[in-house]
Formats: sequence, structure tokens, C-alpha cells
Amino acid sequence: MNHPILDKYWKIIIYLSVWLLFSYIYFWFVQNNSQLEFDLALLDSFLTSFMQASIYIGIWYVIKYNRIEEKTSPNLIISVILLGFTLIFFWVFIVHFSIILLIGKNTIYNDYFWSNIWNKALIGLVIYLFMLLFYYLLIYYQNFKENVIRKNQLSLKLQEQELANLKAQINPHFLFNSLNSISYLIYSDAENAHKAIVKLSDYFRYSLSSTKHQFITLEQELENTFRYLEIEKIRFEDKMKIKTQIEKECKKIQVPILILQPIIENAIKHGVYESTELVTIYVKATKFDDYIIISIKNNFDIDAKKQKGTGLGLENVKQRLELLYKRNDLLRITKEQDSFTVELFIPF
Amino acid sequence: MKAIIIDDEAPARNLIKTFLLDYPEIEIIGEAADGFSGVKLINNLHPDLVFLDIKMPKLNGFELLELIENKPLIIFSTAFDDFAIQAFEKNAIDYLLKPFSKERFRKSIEKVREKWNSTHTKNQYAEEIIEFSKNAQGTLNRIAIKQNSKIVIVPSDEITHIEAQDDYVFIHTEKNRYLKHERMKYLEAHLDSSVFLRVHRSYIVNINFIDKIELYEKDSYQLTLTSKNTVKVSKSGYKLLKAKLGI
Repeated sequence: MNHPILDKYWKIIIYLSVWLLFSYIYFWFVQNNSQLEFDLALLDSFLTSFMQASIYIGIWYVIKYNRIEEKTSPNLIISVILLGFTLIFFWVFIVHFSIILLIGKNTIYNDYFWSNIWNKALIGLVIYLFMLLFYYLLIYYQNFKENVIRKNQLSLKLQEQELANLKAQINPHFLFNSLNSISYLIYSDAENAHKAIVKLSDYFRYSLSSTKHQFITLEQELENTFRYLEIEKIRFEDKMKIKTQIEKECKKIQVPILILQPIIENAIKHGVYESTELVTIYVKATKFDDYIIISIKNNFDIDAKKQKGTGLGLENVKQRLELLYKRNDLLRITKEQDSFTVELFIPF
Repeated sequence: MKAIIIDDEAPARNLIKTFLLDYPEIEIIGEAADGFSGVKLINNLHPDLVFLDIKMPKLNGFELLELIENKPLIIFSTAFDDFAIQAFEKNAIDYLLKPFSKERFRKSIEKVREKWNSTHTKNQYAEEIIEFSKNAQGTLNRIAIKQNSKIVIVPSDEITHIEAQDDYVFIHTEKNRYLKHERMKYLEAHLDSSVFLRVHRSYIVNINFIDKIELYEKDSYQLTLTSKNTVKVSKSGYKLLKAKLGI
């Protein structure tokens, strides 16, 4: 945060003008209420306001770094009182000694000073409280403004995130390639082409419904996974095999919607897409204590050299599980020489 | 006209075959489901026309083009590839965006026929395709190299340094070195610039494999790599290196 007064010339001018005005009133007051000579009164009023003007420029930093929201209220009150006390004390006596230094010993001035010391302190206190209020209000206002900006940025980020999620769900590469395969089936096997279109539609309907609810039964989630696998099987008929082993009592348990999709896509991408050999995808779900363990395993071609884009999908799954269950040990990835296994532990 | 279809999806190959039934003058002499077999097929059968998918296991369509000896006419077919599609739009290279219509397919075939009938444009076009496919790849994650009859794929992060040798380059890894017909300028532009630095007219180095930097002569330096190989560094190369390594 910049200094609220020093950052612009016009603010400095206004600030100095206010103190000049204060100086004039002070001078006028001293002239009318004491026996002080003209030049002494002038000197006193000038030094008094000049000193305060400088001190309160510096006090900004003290207040700024003593963040109000980070302190307990007794602490805050004590520090405000201490600061005020020290400030007023120093200010009164620095002005006093400066004047003595400038004019030497002067009885009239000395009398005037000691008889008015409490008035001075009172003026100092009023100004101190006023400046404190002014600075705190400023900080409050700036925080408020920053919060609004931050909130806007946050909601923008969330929207971007949602859009990215939606894009990932639609997965254009998968969509267009599937449509291309189906367009062949239309010529060769109309019955299967029809089935494929229905599957593809169901798959996308399911994906789009994920914005409406967070959890779904494992049975429905697996149905979607198999739909996806069957569509991929149209494309890579002779290259992939699916094996499943699902325990019956797991089926009704609630799992986060589309949690399996990135895992199965990952298996297809690094298994089937990159391989020239037959790839088998095993999907298993078992109950164990208070968890269901869902495991998705694929073998891969060991000759296939790594292509870009690994692990982003799985990272998302991990983050989602952390967000939903507040635990970071629910995803286990095991890479062996020619196989890749992802295990999910879903508590219920 | 003899044609080959290379695509990792059987239905995609079959669709092209079905569409080609309308063009009896185009004879399908082979099919391949991955880049490796594609290279072999093209080098053995010398087709006039190749329908080429881009995303394929082991060797993608662009990499395949670098490894074939003769230069057939190419029609790319792809579903979705941000970068490649942008590149296609800017070039005369023909491509089919999956799924494509019969009408669109006919246009592609007509274009190919025109080029085939003129030897001049045919050769020029073939050159263009090679050049284009190099640039369409973006950052290289791996390099495909032909060694005798074998194809070797070297992942970029295994390359320690590259040494210029006339029209060729030696690509060094910790264990091997490979000869490839390639320009330094191209490699400099397409390898990941956060790790690969052109430190000398004849050298590109992977900064992850640098072991030592020593003064060699006045104004020139020498790198020792973890593989014990040494690499010369020019004055301007040293500046780049200093900036990159923060020394």
C-alpha cells in the first residue's frame, strides 16, 4: 500500500494547507489568550503544526504494519494508548526545547508553556485521535476495495475452472473420432451405428449432468465407464479387451460423479492409443472395511516412448478427493514394468 | 494411382476404403495401423498417395514423413489437433477433418489428381509437405531417427547434446550417438528452449547434463558433460549459458 498522502502532489498540498490552517487558528488563539509576543506566538504555532505534520506522515507506517485484524483488542488498545502517550509527550517537549534553543531563556515563554501544557496535550490528543481514525478508516476502505477485487478475481478463476472442466468432459478428440467411426458403421452396419449413437448420447448426457449433482451410485458411475469403453472399442476393436469384477454390495454406494472418467481415459490414452499390441483393461471394485476399493489397471506397450500430457487427469482426481474427503491418501498409483494400476479408496 | 491408408483405427481406414469405391482409378495397395509399419509399407511399396492420420502409436504422422525415402502425395486426416489445424489452414496441404463428408473427400481427391498430373507441382508439393510437417509439430518431445533398417525414437530429455556435421547432426545420448539428416537451426527452434541451448555454431546442449564449465581459450569456453563428452562454447554462447544458469 502506498502512502495515502505522499503518493500524489495534490494530496501533499492539501495536507500542508490543513496544517497551515491549524497553525493559523492556533496562532490566533495564542495571541488572544496569552501575553506571548507576536513572533514567539508565530514560532510556537508554526513549530507545533510543522512537527505534527511530519510526525503523522511517519505514523502511517506504524499503523499500517500494526494490522488491526491481526491483533486482539486488549493488545490493540494498549498499543494505541502507548503510541498516543509517547507521541504527545515527545511532540510537546520537542517543540518546547526547540523554542528554548532558538530564543534562549525567556520567562514569559516559560510561564506560558507551563501554564498551557495540559491544553497542549489535550489538543495533541484530539489531533492524535482524529488522525488515528482517519488512517484506520483509510485502511478499512482499501481492504474493502481489495476484497471486492479479490472476490471478482476468484469468481473469474472459478468460472475458468468450470469451463476447463466442461471442455475436458466433452473431450473433442474422443468425440470427433467416435463420430468418424460411427460414420463408417452407417455404411457397413446400420444397427450397430444406431447403438453407438445412443451410447455416445448417453455418455455426454451423463457428463453434462455432473454439474447438477456431486455424488452418484457406483453402479451408475460404472455404467458410464463401460459406455465409454464400449465406444472406444468400436474404434480399437482388435486392440483392446475389457475385464470386470464388481462386487455386488459395492454397487449402491455413493461415489463422486465422473471420478472414474479421468482414470479410465488415462488408461486408454497411455495403454491403447500408444500401443500396437492388445491392451487389457481391468476394472475391479471390492469392499474393504469402510472403503470401497476401485482399481483400474491397464498393461501398456513398453516400447512406446513417453508422449506429453501425463498425469494431469490423475492430479485432478487427487485434488477432487482431497476437497471432498479432506484426505490425501485415497488415490494410489502403481507403475510396474508393463502395467499401470490406479486404486481409489472411497470411504462410506 | 496407388494408395496406402495409415490410421490406427480400423473403422477410420474402412471409411476411406468405402469412399474410395467411387474412384476405381485409385487402387489401395496397403494399410497400416501405426507409424512404424507405415514407414515400412511406404518404403517397400512406393505408393503415389498416402492417407495419413496424425495421432498414432509409436510414431506420429509427422514423424513418419521424416523417415520415408520417396515422397508420395499426402492427405492428412485428423480429428482434432489445435496446433496442426492452425498450420493446415495456412498451407496448401490438404487435410480431412474427421468426420468428413463424401463431398469434402471428393474435393481432396480432385486436388490430389491435379497435382499428380503435373510432375512439377508434384515435386514441389512433396517438398512443401515435408517442410510443413516439421513445423506443424511444435515443440519436439522426441526425435525419430532411421538407423539402417531400424527406427529409433529418442526422447528429447535423454539427449545430452547435438553436434553439427555438414548437412547432418550427431544426436548424443548418455550411451549412444545417432546420425540424422537435419539442420541445427531447425532443432534449435523446435527443441524445448528451457533446457536446450545453442552454445556454439556447431553445438546445442541440454543444460541438465552439464557437469563443468571451464575457460578454454581467451573468449571461449568448454563444457564437460556428465557423459564425459566435451562441448565448445562461443562467446555469445557463454552469454546465453550465463543468463540461463544464473551465474
